[in-house]
Amino acid sequence: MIEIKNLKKIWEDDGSSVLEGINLKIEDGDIYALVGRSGAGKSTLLRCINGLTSYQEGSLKVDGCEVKELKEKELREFRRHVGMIFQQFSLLERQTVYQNVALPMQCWKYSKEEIDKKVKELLELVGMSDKMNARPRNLSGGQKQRVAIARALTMDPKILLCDEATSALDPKTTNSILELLMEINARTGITVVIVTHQMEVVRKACNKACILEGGKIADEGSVREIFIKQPRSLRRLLGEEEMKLPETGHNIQIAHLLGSLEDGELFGKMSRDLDYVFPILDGKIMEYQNDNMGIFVINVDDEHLDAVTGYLTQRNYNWHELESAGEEA
Amino acid sequence: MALNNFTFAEICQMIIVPAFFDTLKMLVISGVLSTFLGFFVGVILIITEKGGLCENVVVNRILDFIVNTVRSFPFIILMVSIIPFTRLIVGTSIGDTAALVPLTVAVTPFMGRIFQNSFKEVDPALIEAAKSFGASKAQIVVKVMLKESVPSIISGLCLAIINLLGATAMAGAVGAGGLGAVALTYGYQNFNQEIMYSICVVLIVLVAAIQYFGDWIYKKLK
Repeated sequence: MIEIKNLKKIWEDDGSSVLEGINLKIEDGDIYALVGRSGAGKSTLLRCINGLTSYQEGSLKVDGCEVKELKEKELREFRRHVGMIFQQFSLLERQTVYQNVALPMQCWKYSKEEIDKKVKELLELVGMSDKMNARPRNLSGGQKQRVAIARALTMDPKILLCDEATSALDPKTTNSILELLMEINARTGITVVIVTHQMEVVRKACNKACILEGGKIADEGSVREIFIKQPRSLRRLLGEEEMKLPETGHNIQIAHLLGSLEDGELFGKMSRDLDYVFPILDGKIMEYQNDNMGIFVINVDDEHLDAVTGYLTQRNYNWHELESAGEEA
Repeated sequence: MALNNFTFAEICQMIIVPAFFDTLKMLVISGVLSTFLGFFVGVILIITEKGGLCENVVVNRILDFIVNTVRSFPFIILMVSIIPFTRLIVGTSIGDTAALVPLTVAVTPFMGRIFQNSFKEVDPALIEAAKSFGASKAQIVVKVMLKESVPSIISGLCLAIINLLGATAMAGAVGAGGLGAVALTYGYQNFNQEIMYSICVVLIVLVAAIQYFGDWIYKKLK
Protein backbone atom coordinates (compact mmCIF):
# COMPACT_ATOMS: atom_id res chain seq x y z
CA MET A 1 0.00 0.00 0.00
CA ILE A 2 1.23 3.45 -0.87
CA GLU A 3 0.09 6.21 1.45
CA ILE A 4 0.86 9.81 0.64
CA LYS A 5 0.04 12.52 3.11
CA ASN A 6 0.40 16.26 2.56
CA LEU A 7 3.35 15.73 0.31
CA LYS A 8 5.10 18.84 -0.88
CA LYS A 9 8.04 19.19 -3.18
CA ILE A 10 9.84 22.29 -4.36
CA TRP A 11 12.63 22.54 -6.91
CA GLU A 12 15.84 23.30 -5.10
CA ASP A 13 17.10 25.45 -7.96
CA ASP A 14 14.51 28.20 -7.86
CA GLY A 15 12.22 27.30 -4.98
CA SER A 16 9.17 26.90 -7.19
CA SER A 17 6.76 24.29 -5.99
CA VAL A 18 6.12 21.16 -8.05
CA LEU A 19 3.79 19.25 -5.81
CA GLU A 20 1.66 20.52 -3.00
CA GLY A 21 -0.80 19.01 -0.58
CA ILE A 22 -0.82 15.59 -2.21
CA ASN A 23 -2.95 13.07 -0.34
CA LEU A 24 -3.36 9.68 -1.88
CA LYS A 25 -3.86 6.09 -0.96
CA ILE A 26 -3.01 3.36 -3.42
CA GLU A 27 -4.15 -0.06 -2.28
CA ASP A 28 -2.40 -3.31 -3.07
CA GLY A 29 -3.47 -4.68 -6.43
CA ASP A 30 -4.77 -1.36 -7.73
CA ILE A 31 -4.03 -0.15 -11.20
CA TYR A 32 -3.79 3.47 -10.33
CA ALA A 33 -3.51 6.30 -12.82
CA LEU A 34 -1.81 9.60 -12.20
CA VAL A 35 -3.08 11.79 -14.99
CA GLY A 36 -2.49 15.36 -15.94
CA ARG A 37 -1.04 17.52 -18.61
CA SER A 38 2.71 17.79 -19.02
CA GLY A 39 4.22 19.78 -16.18
CA ALA A 40 1.45 18.83 -13.77
CA GLY A 41 3.96 17.00 -11.59
CA LYS A 42 2.76 13.47 -12.21
CA SER A 43 6.14 12.03 -13.21
CA THR A 44 7.76 13.78 -10.27
CA LEU A 45 5.19 12.27 -7.92
CA LEU A 46 5.92 8.85 -9.40
CA ARG A 47 9.64 9.32 -8.78
CA CYS A 48 8.92 10.23 -5.17
CA ILE A 49 7.43 6.76 -4.73
CA ASN A 50 10.69 4.95 -5.45
CA GLY A 51 12.94 7.67 -4.12
CA LEU A 52 14.42 8.76 -7.43
CA THR A 53 13.57 12.23 -6.28
CA SER A 54 13.02 13.56 -2.81
CA TYR A 55 10.27 15.65 -1.26
CA GLN A 56 10.53 18.33 1.38
CA GLU A 57 7.38 17.99 3.42
CA GLY A 58 4.75 15.43 4.22
CA SER A 59 5.00 11.72 4.17
CA LEU A 60 5.10 8.99 1.59
CA LYS A 61 4.88 5.50 2.98
CA VAL A 62 5.19 2.30 1.02
CA ASP A 63 3.99 -0.59 3.16
CA GLY A 64 4.48 1.59 6.21
CA CYS A 65 8.03 2.56 5.36
CA GLU A 66 8.83 6.25 4.93
CA VAL A 67 10.75 6.55 1.64
CA LYS A 68 12.41 9.84 2.54
CA GLU A 69 14.09 8.37 5.58
CA LEU A 70 15.74 5.44 3.82
CA LYS A 71 19.52 5.43 3.77
CA GLU A 72 21.35 4.87 0.52
CA LYS A 73 21.67 1.12 1.07
CA GLU A 74 18.13 0.65 2.34
CA LEU A 75 16.88 2.65 -0.62
CA ARG A 76 18.62 0.30 -3.05
CA GLU A 77 17.14 -2.68 -1.25
CA PHE A 78 13.72 -1.00 -1.29
CA ARG A 79 13.94 -0.36 -5.03
CA ARG A 80 14.33 -4.07 -5.67
CA HIS A 81 10.68 -4.38 -4.80
CA VAL A 82 9.55 -1.50 -6.99
CA GLY A 83 9.90 -2.03 -10.73
CA MET A 84 9.76 0.85 -13.15
CA ILE A 85 9.27 1.30 -16.88
CA PHE A 86 9.77 4.44 -18.92
CA GLN A 87 8.50 6.31 -21.94
CA GLN A 88 11.71 5.83 -23.89
CA PHE A 89 12.12 2.23 -22.67
CA SER A 90 15.62 2.88 -21.30
CA LEU A 91 17.20 -0.30 -22.56
CA LEU A 92 20.93 -0.66 -23.01
CA GLU A 93 21.40 -0.37 -26.76
CA ARG A 94 24.56 -2.42 -26.91
CA GLN A 95 23.21 -5.38 -24.98
CA THR A 96 20.92 -8.11 -26.16
CA VAL A 97 17.36 -8.48 -24.93
CA TYR A 98 18.49 -11.31 -22.67
CA GLN A 99 21.33 -9.27 -21.16
CA ASN A 100 19.03 -6.32 -20.61
CA VAL A 101 16.55 -8.40 -18.67
CA ALA A 102 19.32 -10.14 -16.75
CA LEU A 103 21.00 -6.88 -15.68
CA PRO A 104 19.06 -6.21 -12.45
CA MET A 105 19.64 -9.75 -11.24
CA GLN A 106 23.33 -9.52 -12.08
CA CYS A 107 23.51 -6.35 -10.04
CA TRP A 108 22.02 -8.26 -7.14
CA LYS A 109 24.42 -11.14 -7.66
CA TYR A 110 22.00 -13.94 -8.38
CA SER A 111 23.49 -17.17 -9.64
CA LYS A 112 23.69 -17.77 -13.37
CA GLU A 113 21.13 -20.57 -13.21
CA GLU A 114 18.62 -18.47 -11.30
CA ILE A 115 19.07 -15.60 -13.74
CA ASP A 116 18.70 -17.85 -16.76
CA LYS A 117 15.55 -19.43 -15.43
CA LYS A 118 13.91 -16.15 -14.48
CA VAL A 119 14.87 -14.28 -17.65
CA LYS A 120 13.51 -17.03 -19.88
CA GLU A 121 10.34 -17.26 -17.84
CA LEU A 122 9.75 -13.50 -18.06
CA LEU A 123 10.55 -13.27 -21.75
CA GLU A 124 8.00 -16.01 -22.25
CA LEU A 125 5.47 -14.03 -20.21
CA VAL A 126 5.90 -10.88 -22.27
CA GLY A 127 6.03 -12.85 -25.52
CA MET A 128 9.60 -11.99 -26.46
CA SER A 129 11.27 -15.41 -26.21
CA ASP A 130 12.11 -15.53 -29.88
CA LYS A 131 13.89 -12.17 -29.73
CA MET A 132 16.14 -13.15 -26.84
CA ASN A 133 19.36 -12.45 -28.72
CA ALA A 134 18.20 -9.40 -30.62
CA ARG A 135 19.43 -5.92 -29.80
CA PRO A 136 16.96 -3.21 -28.81
CA ARG A 137 17.66 -1.16 -31.92
CA ASN A 138 16.17 -3.94 -34.04
CA LEU A 139 12.95 -4.02 -32.04
CA SER A 140 9.78 -2.00 -32.44
CA GLY A 141 8.61 0.34 -29.69
CA GLY A 142 6.07 -2.12 -28.36
CA GLN A 143 8.63 -4.91 -28.25
CA LYS A 144 11.10 -2.69 -26.43
CA GLN A 145 8.49 -1.88 -23.83
CA ARG A 146 7.79 -5.58 -23.38
CA VAL A 147 11.47 -6.16 -22.73
CA ALA A 148 11.48 -3.26 -20.29
CA ILE A 149 8.49 -4.78 -18.49
CA ALA A 150 10.31 -8.10 -18.24
CA ARG A 151 13.34 -6.29 -16.80
CA ALA A 152 11.17 -4.46 -14.28
CA LEU A 153 9.66 -7.74 -13.10
CA THR A 154 12.89 -9.68 -12.52
CA MET A 155 12.91 -9.08 -8.78
CA ASP A 156 9.24 -9.99 -8.33
CA PRO A 157 8.35 -6.45 -7.31
CA LYS A 158 5.22 -5.60 -5.37
CA ILE A 159 4.79 -2.34 -7.21
CA LEU A 160 5.29 -1.46 -10.86
CA LEU A 161 5.68 2.19 -11.76
CA CYS A 162 4.96 3.17 -15.35
CA ASP A 163 6.17 6.56 -16.46
CA GLU A 164 4.32 7.48 -19.66
CA ALA A 165 5.02 3.91 -20.70
CA THR A 166 2.66 3.98 -23.65
CA SER A 167 3.07 7.58 -24.78
CA ALA A 168 5.57 6.73 -27.49
CA LEU A 169 3.47 3.91 -28.88
CA ASP A 170 0.68 3.75 -31.44
CA PRO A 171 -2.88 3.07 -30.18
CA LYS A 172 -2.89 -0.61 -31.07
CA THR A 173 0.47 -1.27 -29.41
CA THR A 174 -0.64 0.81 -26.45
CA ASN A 175 -3.59 -1.51 -26.05
CA SER A 176 -1.46 -4.63 -26.20
CA ILE A 177 0.94 -3.24 -23.60
CA LEU A 178 -1.98 -2.29 -21.34
CA GLU A 179 -3.46 -5.75 -21.74
CA LEU A 180 -0.12 -7.22 -20.71
CA LEU A 181 0.00 -5.00 -17.63
CA MET A 182 -3.56 -5.94 -16.73
CA GLU A 183 -2.76 -9.60 -17.18
CA ILE A 184 0.29 -9.35 -14.93
CA ASN A 185 -1.76 -7.44 -12.38
CA ALA A 186 -4.49 -10.07 -12.41
CA ARG A 187 -2.02 -12.91 -12.18
CA THR A 188 0.35 -11.63 -9.50
CA GLY A 189 -1.68 -8.95 -7.75
CA ILE A 190 1.10 -6.44 -8.34
CA THR A 191 0.18 -2.81 -7.71
CA VAL A 192 0.57 -0.77 -10.88
CA VAL A 193 0.91 2.99 -10.86
CA ILE A 194 0.54 4.49 -14.31
CA VAL A 195 1.53 8.03 -15.15
CA THR A 196 -0.06 9.16 -18.37
CA HIS A 197 -1.66 12.02 -20.21
CA GLN A 198 -3.75 9.66 -22.33
CA MET A 199 -7.28 9.29 -21.06
CA GLU A 200 -7.71 6.14 -23.16
CA VAL A 201 -5.11 4.47 -20.98
CA VAL A 202 -7.00 5.36 -17.82
CA ARG A 203 -10.27 4.24 -19.30
CA LYS A 204 -8.94 0.94 -20.47
CA ALA A 205 -6.67 -0.23 -17.70
CA CYS A 206 -7.11 1.62 -14.45
CA ASN A 207 -9.51 1.17 -11.59
CA LYS A 208 -8.58 4.36 -9.77
CA ALA A 209 -7.23 7.65 -10.90
CA CYS A 210 -6.03 10.98 -9.68
CA ILE A 211 -6.06 14.06 -11.86
CA LEU A 212 -3.21 16.43 -11.16
CA GLU A 213 -3.29 20.06 -12.14
CA GLY A 214 -0.42 22.40 -11.44
CA GLY A 215 1.05 20.12 -8.79
CA LYS A 216 -2.20 19.70 -6.90
CA ILE A 217 -4.85 17.03 -6.91
CA ALA A 218 -7.86 18.25 -8.84
CA ASP A 219 -9.92 15.09 -8.57
CA GLU A 220 -9.40 11.62 -7.23
CA GLY A 221 -11.36 8.42 -6.99
CA SER A 222 -12.45 5.40 -8.93
CA VAL A 223 -12.18 5.84 -12.65
CA ARG A 224 -15.83 5.01 -13.04
CA GLU A 225 -16.81 7.72 -10.62
CA ILE A 226 -14.61 10.27 -12.31
CA PHE A 227 -16.10 9.49 -15.69
CA ILE A 228 -19.59 9.65 -14.32
CA LYS A 229 -18.95 12.92 -12.54
CA GLN A 230 -17.14 14.41 -15.53
CA PRO A 231 -15.40 17.03 -13.39
CA ARG A 232 -14.10 20.08 -15.12
CA SER A 233 -10.51 18.93 -14.62
CA LEU A 234 -11.31 15.86 -16.70
CA ARG A 235 -12.83 17.92 -19.46
CA ARG A 236 -9.84 20.22 -19.46
CA LEU A 237 -7.60 17.20 -19.71
CA LEU A 238 -9.54 15.83 -22.64
CA GLY A 239 -9.06 19.19 -24.27
CA GLU A 240 -12.76 19.68 -24.69
CA GLU A 241 -13.76 23.22 -25.25
CA GLU A 242 -16.11 24.58 -22.68
CA MET A 243 -19.52 23.91 -24.04
CA LYS A 244 -21.75 26.93 -24.46
CA LEU A 245 -24.76 26.00 -22.34
CA PRO A 246 -28.11 27.72 -22.65
CA GLU A 247 -28.82 30.30 -19.95
CA THR A 248 -32.40 29.22 -19.54
CA GLY A 249 -33.65 26.07 -17.90
CA HIS A 250 -31.47 23.39 -16.32
CA ASN A 251 -28.64 21.59 -18.00
CA ILE A 252 -28.55 18.00 -16.83
CA GLN A 253 -25.65 15.72 -17.49
CA ILE A 254 -26.36 12.02 -17.54
CA ALA A 255 -23.62 9.41 -17.47
CA HIS A 256 -24.49 5.80 -17.78
CA LEU A 257 -22.90 2.51 -18.61
CA LEU A 258 -24.62 1.27 -21.70
CA GLY A 259 -25.25 -2.29 -20.67
CA SER A 260 -27.96 -3.27 -23.10
CA LEU A 261 -29.60 -1.93 -26.15
CA GLU A 262 -32.46 -0.62 -24.05
CA ASP A 263 -30.22 1.99 -22.50
CA GLY A 264 -30.07 3.64 -25.87
CA GLU A 265 -33.80 4.10 -25.75
CA LEU A 266 -33.70 6.20 -22.59
CA PHE A 267 -34.43 9.57 -24.14
CA GLY A 268 -37.11 8.33 -26.44
CA LYS A 269 -38.87 6.51 -23.61
CA MET A 270 -38.48 9.38 -21.18
CA SER A 271 -39.87 11.80 -23.70
CA ARG A 272 -42.84 9.57 -24.30
CA ASP A 273 -43.46 8.70 -20.66
CA LEU A 274 -43.26 12.28 -19.48
CA ASP A 275 -44.87 13.66 -22.60
CA TYR A 276 -42.16 16.25 -22.77
CA VAL A 277 -39.74 17.02 -25.58
CA PHE A 278 -36.34 18.34 -24.53
CA PRO A 279 -33.21 19.21 -26.51
CA ILE A 280 -30.09 17.03 -26.30
CA LEU A 281 -27.14 19.44 -26.18
CA ASP A 282 -24.27 17.02 -26.20
CA GLY A 283 -23.78 13.30 -26.42
CA LYS A 284 -20.89 10.95 -26.65
CA ILE A 285 -20.15 7.35 -26.01
CA MET A 286 -16.78 6.28 -24.74
CA GLU A 287 -15.30 2.94 -24.11
CA TYR A 288 -14.76 2.25 -20.47
CA GLN A 289 -12.86 -0.96 -19.80
CA ASN A 290 -15.17 -3.53 -21.35
CA ASP A 291 -18.26 -1.36 -21.34
CA ASN A 292 -19.46 1.66 -23.17
CA MET A 293 -20.32 4.74 -21.23
CA GLY A 294 -22.71 7.24 -22.63
CA ILE A 295 -22.50 10.85 -21.52
CA PHE A 296 -25.29 13.21 -22.48
CA VAL A 297 -26.34 16.73 -21.64
CA ILE A 298 -29.97 17.71 -21.95
CA ASN A 299 -31.75 20.96 -21.26
CA VAL A 300 -34.90 20.84 -19.14
CA ASP A 301 -37.18 23.71 -18.25
CA ASP A 302 -38.19 24.56 -14.66
CA GLU A 303 -41.58 23.00 -14.98
CA HIS A 304 -40.31 19.53 -15.90
CA LEU A 305 -37.15 19.46 -13.80
CA ASP A 306 -38.52 17.39 -10.96
CA ALA A 307 -40.24 14.97 -13.27
CA VAL A 308 -37.09 14.39 -15.31
CA THR A 309 -34.72 14.03 -12.38
CA GLY A 310 -37.17 11.79 -10.60
CA TYR A 311 -37.44 9.65 -13.70
CA LEU A 312 -33.66 9.36 -13.94
CA THR A 313 -33.13 8.63 -10.27
CA GLN A 314 -35.83 6.01 -10.27
CA ARG A 315 -34.07 4.17 -13.07
CA ASN A 316 -30.63 4.49 -11.50
CA TYR A 317 -29.13 6.83 -14.01
CA ASN A 318 -26.29 8.99 -12.70
CA TRP A 319 -27.10 12.58 -13.36
CA HIS A 320 -26.10 16.00 -12.12
CA GLU A 321 -26.92 19.51 -13.03
CA LEU A 322 -24.26 21.52 -14.80
CA GLU A 323 -24.00 25.10 -13.81
CA SER A 324 -23.28 27.66 -16.47
CA ALA A 325 -19.61 28.15 -17.26
CA GLY A 326 -17.60 30.18 -14.79
CA GLU A 327 -19.67 29.25 -11.76
CA GLU A 328 -18.90 25.59 -11.62
CA ALA A 329 -15.98 24.87 -9.35
CA MET B 1 80.35 6.95 -36.80
CA ALA B 2 80.14 7.72 -40.47
CA LEU B 3 76.87 6.52 -41.84
CA ASN B 4 78.21 6.65 -45.37
CA ASN B 5 79.97 3.36 -44.78
CA PHE B 6 76.69 1.51 -44.38
CA THR B 7 73.99 0.59 -46.83
CA PHE B 8 70.43 1.78 -46.21
CA ALA B 9 69.36 -1.74 -45.28
CA GLU B 10 72.05 -1.87 -42.61
CA ILE B 11 71.04 1.53 -41.29
CA CYS B 12 67.48 0.34 -41.09
CA GLN B 13 68.46 -2.70 -39.13
CA MET B 14 70.85 -0.88 -36.84
CA ILE B 15 68.96 2.34 -36.17
CA ILE B 16 65.43 2.53 -37.46
CA VAL B 17 64.11 -0.87 -36.38
CA PRO B 18 65.31 -0.60 -32.75
CA ALA B 19 63.99 2.96 -32.69
CA PHE B 20 60.64 1.71 -33.93
CA PHE B 21 60.44 -0.75 -31.06
CA ASP B 22 61.50 1.94 -28.57
CA THR B 23 58.66 4.11 -29.85
CA LEU B 24 56.25 1.20 -29.68
CA LYS B 25 57.33 0.46 -26.13
CA MET B 26 56.79 4.06 -25.03
CA LEU B 27 53.50 4.17 -26.86
CA VAL B 28 52.13 0.99 -25.34
CA ILE B 29 53.28 1.54 -21.76
CA SER B 30 52.29 5.21 -21.49
CA GLY B 31 49.16 4.45 -23.50
CA VAL B 32 48.04 1.77 -21.07
CA LEU B 33 48.99 3.83 -18.01
CA SER B 34 47.25 6.96 -19.22
CA THR B 35 44.14 5.04 -20.27
CA PHE B 36 43.96 3.48 -16.85
CA LEU B 37 44.51 6.77 -15.01
CA GLY B 38 42.37 8.69 -17.50
CA PHE B 39 39.48 6.34 -16.81
CA PHE B 40 39.50 7.37 -13.16
CA VAL B 41 39.85 11.04 -14.04
CA GLY B 42 36.90 10.73 -16.41
CA VAL B 43 34.79 8.83 -13.89
CA ILE B 44 35.51 11.32 -11.10
CA LEU B 45 34.77 14.25 -13.40
CA ILE B 46 31.46 12.80 -14.47
CA ILE B 47 30.17 11.56 -11.13
CA THR B 48 31.10 14.70 -9.19
CA GLU B 49 29.55 17.13 -11.65
CA LYS B 50 26.27 18.81 -10.81
CA GLY B 51 23.48 16.24 -10.85
CA GLY B 52 26.03 13.42 -11.07
CA LEU B 53 26.03 10.20 -9.08
CA CYS B 54 28.18 11.64 -6.26
CA GLU B 55 27.78 15.35 -6.76
CA ASN B 56 30.77 17.21 -5.30
CA VAL B 57 31.37 20.61 -6.78
CA VAL B 58 34.68 21.22 -4.99
CA VAL B 59 36.35 18.01 -6.19
CA ASN B 60 34.94 18.58 -9.65
CA ARG B 61 36.28 22.14 -9.90
CA ILE B 62 39.73 21.21 -8.64
CA LEU B 63 40.12 18.23 -10.96
CA ASP B 64 38.74 20.21 -13.86
CA PHE B 65 41.27 22.95 -13.19
CA ILE B 66 44.18 20.48 -13.03
CA VAL B 67 43.09 18.82 -16.26
CA ASN B 68 42.86 22.16 -18.04
CA THR B 69 46.19 23.31 -16.68
CA VAL B 70 48.10 20.21 -17.74
CA ARG B 71 46.43 20.20 -21.11
CA SER B 72 47.38 23.80 -21.78
CA PHE B 73 51.13 23.04 -21.54
CA PRO B 74 52.86 22.40 -24.85
CA PHE B 75 54.27 18.91 -24.42
CA ILE B 76 57.90 19.90 -24.79
CA ILE B 77 57.58 22.51 -22.02
CA LEU B 78 55.67 20.11 -19.77
CA MET B 79 58.37 17.51 -20.21
CA VAL B 80 61.09 19.88 -19.15
CA SER B 81 59.17 21.45 -16.31
CA ILE B 82 58.34 18.18 -14.58
CA ILE B 83 61.91 16.86 -14.64
CA PRO B 84 62.18 16.88 -10.83
CA PHE B 85 58.99 14.83 -10.62
CA THR B 86 60.31 12.43 -13.27
CA ARG B 87 63.56 11.99 -11.28
CA LEU B 88 61.58 11.33 -8.15
CA ILE B 89 59.64 8.54 -9.80
CA VAL B 90 62.11 6.77 -12.09
CA GLY B 91 65.39 8.12 -10.71
CA THR B 92 66.54 9.66 -13.98
CA SER B 93 65.34 12.24 -16.44
CA ILE B 94 66.98 10.77 -19.53
CA GLY B 95 66.01 7.80 -21.64
CA ASP B 96 62.95 5.83 -22.64
CA THR B 97 61.80 5.01 -19.15
CA ALA B 98 62.11 8.62 -18.05
CA ALA B 99 60.06 9.72 -21.04
CA LEU B 100 57.18 7.53 -19.85
CA VAL B 101 56.49 9.88 -16.96
CA PRO B 102 55.89 13.11 -18.90
CA LEU B 103 54.11 11.15 -21.63
CA THR B 104 51.70 9.65 -19.14
CA VAL B 105 51.25 12.94 -17.32
CA ALA B 106 50.55 14.77 -20.56
CA VAL B 107 48.08 12.27 -22.02
CA THR B 108 46.17 11.30 -18.87
CA PRO B 109 44.09 14.52 -18.78
CA PHE B 110 43.33 14.10 -22.46
CA MET B 111 42.21 10.53 -21.81
CA GLY B 112 40.19 11.81 -18.87
CA ARG B 113 38.30 14.19 -21.12
CA ILE B 114 37.69 11.42 -23.63
CA PHE B 115 36.15 9.20 -20.97
CA GLN B 116 34.19 12.11 -19.56
CA ASN B 117 32.75 13.04 -22.95
CA SER B 118 31.89 9.45 -23.78
CA PHE B 119 30.14 9.00 -20.44
CA LYS B 120 28.28 12.24 -20.98
CA GLU B 121 26.70 10.82 -24.10
CA VAL B 122 25.11 7.99 -22.15
CA ASP B 123 21.40 8.70 -21.90
CA PRO B 124 20.62 9.88 -18.34
CA ALA B 125 17.41 7.85 -18.60
CA LEU B 126 19.52 4.68 -18.60
CA ILE B 127 21.19 5.74 -15.39
CA GLU B 128 17.81 6.46 -13.88
CA ALA B 129 16.57 3.05 -14.98
CA ALA B 130 19.59 1.40 -13.36
CA LYS B 131 18.90 3.31 -10.16
CA SER B 132 15.28 2.20 -10.32
CA PHE B 133 16.25 -1.46 -10.02
CA GLY B 134 18.68 -0.77 -7.23
CA ALA B 135 22.06 -0.83 -9.00
CA SER B 136 24.90 0.57 -6.90
CA LYS B 137 26.92 3.55 -8.07
CA ALA B 138 29.89 1.38 -9.03
CA GLN B 139 27.57 -0.91 -10.98
CA ILE B 140 26.04 2.04 -12.76
CA VAL B 141 29.48 3.28 -13.80
CA VAL B 142 30.75 -0.10 -14.97
CA LYS B 143 27.67 -1.95 -16.16
CA VAL B 144 25.81 0.97 -17.69
CA MET B 145 27.99 3.99 -18.42
CA LEU B 146 31.16 2.15 -19.42
CA LYS B 147 29.44 -0.64 -21.33
CA GLU B 148 27.20 1.69 -23.27
CA SER B 149 29.97 4.08 -24.24
CA VAL B 150 32.65 1.58 -25.32
CA PRO B 151 32.51 2.42 -29.04
CA SER B 152 32.76 6.12 -28.38
CA ILE B 153 35.63 5.51 -25.94
CA ILE B 154 37.47 3.42 -28.53
CA SER B 155 37.36 6.14 -31.16
CA GLY B 156 38.48 8.65 -28.54
CA LEU B 157 41.36 6.45 -27.43
CA CYS B 158 42.46 6.15 -31.01
CA LEU B 159 42.68 9.91 -31.20
CA ALA B 160 44.63 10.08 -27.96
CA ILE B 161 47.09 7.38 -28.95
CA ILE B 162 47.91 9.13 -32.20
CA ASN B 163 48.43 12.26 -30.16
CA LEU B 164 50.68 10.25 -27.88
CA LEU B 165 52.72 9.06 -30.84
CA GLY B 166 53.45 12.68 -31.70
CA ALA B 167 54.53 13.28 -28.14
CA THR B 168 56.92 10.28 -28.13
CA ALA B 169 58.66 11.78 -31.14
CA MET B 170 59.09 15.02 -29.22
CA ALA B 171 60.38 13.15 -26.21
CA GLY B 172 63.34 12.26 -28.42
CA ALA B 173 64.48 15.85 -28.07
CA VAL B 174 65.36 15.33 -24.42
CA GLY B 175 67.10 12.03 -24.63
CA ALA B 176 64.40 9.46 -25.01
CA GLY B 177 65.10 7.14 -27.93
CA GLY B 178 62.64 6.19 -30.55
CA LEU B 179 61.79 7.28 -34.04
CA GLY B 180 61.59 10.96 -33.17
CA ALA B 181 65.11 11.01 -31.74
CA VAL B 182 66.52 9.15 -34.73
CA ALA B 183 64.81 11.48 -37.19
CA LEU B 184 66.24 14.45 -35.35
CA THR B 185 69.79 13.30 -34.66
CA TYR B 186 70.58 10.95 -37.54
CA GLY B 187 68.30 12.64 -40.02
CA TYR B 188 67.91 16.36 -39.42
CA GLN B 189 71.17 17.18 -37.65
CA ASN B 190 73.17 14.84 -39.85
CA PHE B 191 71.68 16.16 -43.10
CA ASN B 192 70.59 12.63 -43.93
CA GLN B 193 67.30 13.04 -45.73
CA GLU B 194 66.96 9.35 -46.44
CA ILE B 195 66.69 8.53 -42.73
CA MET B 196 64.48 11.49 -41.95
CA TYR B 197 61.92 10.79 -44.65
CA SER B 198 61.92 7.06 -44.13
CA ILE B 199 61.02 7.72 -40.50
CA CYS B 200 58.26 10.05 -41.65
CA VAL B 201 56.92 7.19 -43.75
CA VAL B 202 57.10 4.81 -40.79
CA LEU B 203 55.16 7.31 -38.69
CA ILE B 204 52.55 7.82 -41.38
CA VAL B 205 52.03 4.08 -41.66
CA LEU B 206 51.86 3.73 -37.88
CA VAL B 207 49.23 6.47 -37.57
CA ALA B 208 47.19 4.99 -40.40
CA ALA B 209 47.42 1.55 -38.81
CA ILE B 210 46.23 2.83 -35.43
CA GLN B 211 43.38 4.72 -37.04
CA TYR B 212 42.22 1.80 -39.17
CA PHE B 213 42.46 -0.57 -36.26
CA GLY B 214 40.44 1.84 -34.11
CA ASP B 215 37.77 2.27 -36.78
CA TRP B 216 37.59 -1.47 -37.26
CA ILE B 217 37.00 -2.13 -33.56
CA TYR B 218 34.51 0.74 -33.42
CA LYS B 219 32.49 -0.80 -36.22
CA LYS B 220 32.65 -4.22 -34.60
CA LEU B 221 31.40 -2.91 -31.28
CA LYS B 222 28.83 -0.40 -32.44
